[in-house]
Amino acid sequence: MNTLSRPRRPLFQRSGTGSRRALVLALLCLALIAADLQTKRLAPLRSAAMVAASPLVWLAEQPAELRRFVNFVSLRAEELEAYEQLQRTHLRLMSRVQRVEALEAENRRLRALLSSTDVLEARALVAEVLAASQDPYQQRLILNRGSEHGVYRGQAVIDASGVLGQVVRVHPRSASALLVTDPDHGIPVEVNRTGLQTIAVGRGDGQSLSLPYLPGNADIRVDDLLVSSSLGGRFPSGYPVARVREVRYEPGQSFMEAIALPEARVNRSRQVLLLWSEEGLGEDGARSNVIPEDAFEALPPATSEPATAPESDGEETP
Amino acid sequence: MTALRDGLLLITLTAFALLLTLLPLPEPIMPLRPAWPLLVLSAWAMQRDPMAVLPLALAAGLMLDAVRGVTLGLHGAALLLPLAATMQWRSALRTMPLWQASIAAGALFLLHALLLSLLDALTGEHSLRSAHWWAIPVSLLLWPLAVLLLRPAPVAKSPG
Repeated sequence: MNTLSRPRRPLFQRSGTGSRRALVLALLCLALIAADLQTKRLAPLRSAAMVAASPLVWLAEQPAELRRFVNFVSLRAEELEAYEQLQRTHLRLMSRVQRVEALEAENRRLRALLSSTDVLEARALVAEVLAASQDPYQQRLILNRGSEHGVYRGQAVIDASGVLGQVVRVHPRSASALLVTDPDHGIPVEVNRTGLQTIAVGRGDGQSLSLPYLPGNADIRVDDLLVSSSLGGRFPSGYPVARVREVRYEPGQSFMEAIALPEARVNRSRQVLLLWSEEGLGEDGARSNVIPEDAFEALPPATSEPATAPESDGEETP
Repeated sequence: MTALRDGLLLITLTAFALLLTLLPLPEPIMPLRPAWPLLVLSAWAMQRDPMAVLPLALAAGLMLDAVRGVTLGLHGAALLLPLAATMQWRSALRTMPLWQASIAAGALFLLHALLLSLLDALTGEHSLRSAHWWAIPVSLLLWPLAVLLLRPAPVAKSPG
């Protein structure tokens, strides 16, 4: 009896102890779960396990890495082409950016050399065009801004593409502006290419400007851009005014004449910008060398309000 | 000498099982991934020294917890309870024909999957997509293979 049970006993015992230890370890694991849920003290154990597992994690990532590499190598032709095109565009744009940066730096240097302060004016006011006169000899706009908004006589009026004209009469809530194409209007301009300074006056046809009294040897060509010059102190400099369309030289005359088309959309702008130039603030009227005074007397009566006449008179005489 | 070789072999196999567990798989066959660590360790516990699998099961469980970012001890408990069952009925499993033992092993994998999803739900993380019930038949098909491969060497068998 005793001999029969003896060979069996160690077998059961051995398997029993093994399972008991496994159960103890499983209970330990459950305790770990409870501890990990309750406290943060097991962080070192977690990081140690992570460190131990990191070679396996690295190995496990290798097939995906390999696939990514193969995908990268076997890029389809169109993708490669698109990539190359993007690369070319990028290169071109980068070279342009570099050029722009160089130009910017050069511009700063030159401006410092000239010790000029002609930064394009920041202060501007949008005005609506209330009316435009149809009279070819009185080309002006009526704007919905006046002295209440700080508008002053002689103020430059521009639109999105260039100089339109200047304010000649200010009312409390409106102003009238003379267009650059008006025969009474003159504007100091500069040939952008050469820096030649001259005056552009309106020709009265509502479409073009004339540059009279050019010296016979003046360097001016068709398609030259004329920008506003601060000569005379009325206009801010650097705004496009017109582009030369024709250069006339008549034998026997001592001066050349150039015809230019305004850059601004004359008579087609619904909204314009009023610019403040530093010299213009408070000093208007003193330099009315361009506008003859009688130009104001012929204002269309429909838009000029009687109450504003004394005020504008007061502004004109400093 | 053979003990050392066996130990190294077991460590290698466990590491390989962990690697197969961590290996990213395409989405469609992801749910079919067998429970590699339990497969290897239970086959080892049945055919070789059963005590040797316990520390490895604990270590593998902790590593899986750390890598998958779940509560520490979760994988260990899910591994050790089926292993305890394996050890409890080790002698019976060894005397059974292999096909009957395989069916019995199905209970182990079911227990493993149940424990994983239960503990995952209890710890309230649900970060583990453990309820891959289709992996149980796959594990079952592979289990006899592992058992046959881990048969003890004839030299060790002859005295026993």
